[in-house]
Amino acid sequence: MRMRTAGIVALLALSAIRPVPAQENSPPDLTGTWRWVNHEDERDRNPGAFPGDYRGLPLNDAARMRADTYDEEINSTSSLLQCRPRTPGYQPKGLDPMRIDKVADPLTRQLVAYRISYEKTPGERVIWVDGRPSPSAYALHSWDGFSTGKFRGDTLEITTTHLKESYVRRNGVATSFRATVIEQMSLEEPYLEVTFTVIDPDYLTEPLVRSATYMRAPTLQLPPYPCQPEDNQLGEKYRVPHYLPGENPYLTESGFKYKTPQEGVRGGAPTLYPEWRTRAATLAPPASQTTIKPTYTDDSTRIAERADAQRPRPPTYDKVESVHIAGNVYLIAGAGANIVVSDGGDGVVMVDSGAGPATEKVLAAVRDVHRMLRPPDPPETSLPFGNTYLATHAPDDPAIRLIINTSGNADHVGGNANIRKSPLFRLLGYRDPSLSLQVLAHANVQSRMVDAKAPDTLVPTDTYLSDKYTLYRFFNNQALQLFHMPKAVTDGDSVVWFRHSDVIAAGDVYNSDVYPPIDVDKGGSIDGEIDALNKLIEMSVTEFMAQGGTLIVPGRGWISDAADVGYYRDMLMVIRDRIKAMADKGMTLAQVKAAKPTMDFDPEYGREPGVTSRFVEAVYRSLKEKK
Amino acid sequence: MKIPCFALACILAVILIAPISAHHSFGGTYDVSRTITITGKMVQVTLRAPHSFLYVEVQDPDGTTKQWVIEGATAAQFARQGIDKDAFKIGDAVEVVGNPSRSPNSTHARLIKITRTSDGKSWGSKVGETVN
Repeated sequence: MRMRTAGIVALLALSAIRPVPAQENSPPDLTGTWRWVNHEDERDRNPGAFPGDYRGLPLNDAARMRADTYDEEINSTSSLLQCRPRTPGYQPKGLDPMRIDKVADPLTRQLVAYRISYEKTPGERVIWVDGRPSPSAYALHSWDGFSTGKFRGDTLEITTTHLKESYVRRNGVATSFRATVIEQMSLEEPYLEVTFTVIDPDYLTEPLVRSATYMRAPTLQLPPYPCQPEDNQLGEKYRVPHYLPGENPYLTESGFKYKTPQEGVRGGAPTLYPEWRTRAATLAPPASQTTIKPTYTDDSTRIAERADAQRPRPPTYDKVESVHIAGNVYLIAGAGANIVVSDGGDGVVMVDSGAGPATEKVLAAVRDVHRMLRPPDPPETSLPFGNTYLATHAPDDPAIRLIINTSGNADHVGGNANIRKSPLFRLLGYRDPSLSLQVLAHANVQSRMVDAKAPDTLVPTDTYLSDKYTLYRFFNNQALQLFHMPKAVTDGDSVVWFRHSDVIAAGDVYNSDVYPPIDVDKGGSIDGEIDALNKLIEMSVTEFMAQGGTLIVPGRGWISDAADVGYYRDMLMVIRDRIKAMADKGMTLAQVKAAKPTMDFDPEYGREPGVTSRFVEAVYRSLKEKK
Repeated sequence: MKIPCFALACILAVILIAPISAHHSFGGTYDVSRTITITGKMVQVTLRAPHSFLYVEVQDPDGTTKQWVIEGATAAQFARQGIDKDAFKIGDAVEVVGNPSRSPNSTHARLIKITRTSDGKSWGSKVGETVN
């Protein structure tokens, strides 16, 4: 009996000290501080990739041309690139240590995300593991992108979209803003193996798969990283260092130095496979470093032609979206040109009205915006006369008080007539509506539309003629300013700055994924366009390391920031220089078009019918007619 | 004490592969196979991450001046080499040895060695390098 009691006591004691089982399917613990192990692709880091070295990259000819004409000095001269962080498509090839933390829901205590801090990356990258959907296609692209994670066995697989344009090698081999990056993180204590794959429909013909190793470094403290951009071109006009096609003298340097056949140095998918070694054995490396004139012939060189061959389809406007931008400012997208609205107690101000046939959907989107929950503005000492109550307690039905047109293009002004007829259009001010502000634009927009005999109901009713126009009072607790951008896309372009929310509606002056529709016959020019983009960049501030801060809404595409506009400006400057060099040699427009001076940028900006041809013609004409 | 050759080789290898905290590619930006010498006066010192910039005004024989941008290590690495805010005063005469930019007509260079002319004190660009 005594033995039985002792046995029961012993069993009870054992059960009491039995460890609490970990949660079923508990994933491996990736948290902690990790140091990058520098044992792969060492020459990529030190001294760094040489120009023209594309070994191991499945790039296409558009990517090759872009890299062949790239000058790495731009990373010193552009204040927007000096502090550019790495995107996940290159980050594991950097040398940054990183720290991984878990984020748990305080209520359910379930893991909702991982946060990753890299030494040279702003803020903290968030990997959502709670199954949330991807943000709108019109959402801001960032250096970190939008990442979701899922465990497959013991491996964390991360998928990242919404990335800014970046690079896969530090010699100008670009990754597009359309790229997706898949990372697989596997723990083999004390190592963390990271396999990362870049899938880029614009610049790679196959997924680029690479790997990197990190090692636990529990005592490592990530240092602060105060990257202060410098203006390296004091007193000089901003320039973009680059080579004209066929003029880069360094493209054979790598093959010559490392005794590698030039065909291999030029990269491409076939050179990645073992079979290529047989062919490589038959090829000799360059005997000296010489300037070569590469030719580009693959599918990626015919993007614009293929776009032109598409049968034009009438727009359906079947997916009109409302997206919050900042403060009380929202984007309505998918109804022609992007529409930016501010909504609050003072009513709604709309920048552009979209395409005419889309008005009903636009008005529905305005109502959606009006119903969106938005935290009240904090008390502002800088707004002593602002009425917080009015600004945050909007009437049940939105009241559209004013439309601003950034240009006279049809998909910017097309909704003017229908919206003015709508019961939502309730003007501020006088009993006689003809005395109130209704549709405001630069005077040149009005005069060109009148000259073109546009219907009266589409033509802006109110105009300004100066360089800058400030609305007579704050609207929804913020100033609205219009800036005239002379000779950009046309001679009547305006950008509209919502000062408190720090949002700029850029109109057609900036499009995130299509060349600007410069119309020389309406006073547009490539130099004026570049000046306008420089002005936009000057007006903007970034939050940290060329990211965020002032948000710039393009005429077409997704919400952007100064870094995106900087890329766009640099692209235009490179193309302007190429076409100018051709025009200076006496080449005709037909010859310039046949030479495809935009070929390396067409995958990103030339996918719409007719866009590339019209753009090249506009650049050529504006340079020729300037003389 | 005799250090075995293998151990010495390992130590050397570790030193040589110690990563330079480079953000962009020095090898891609500068022609590391060539060196140039620039003589002028310091007009701005910016110690920062990921690379620091020293601005040197150089007078050409025709009397015109050009501003050279000398790019070097991160502020923390410079500090380990003794280059801090007190190393140079604006107006100090300096001589810079560097790798020139690959970019045509550029006035950018990568720092290899800088000498303060007034007292001959020099700093090198490699971590722990004692030049003078």
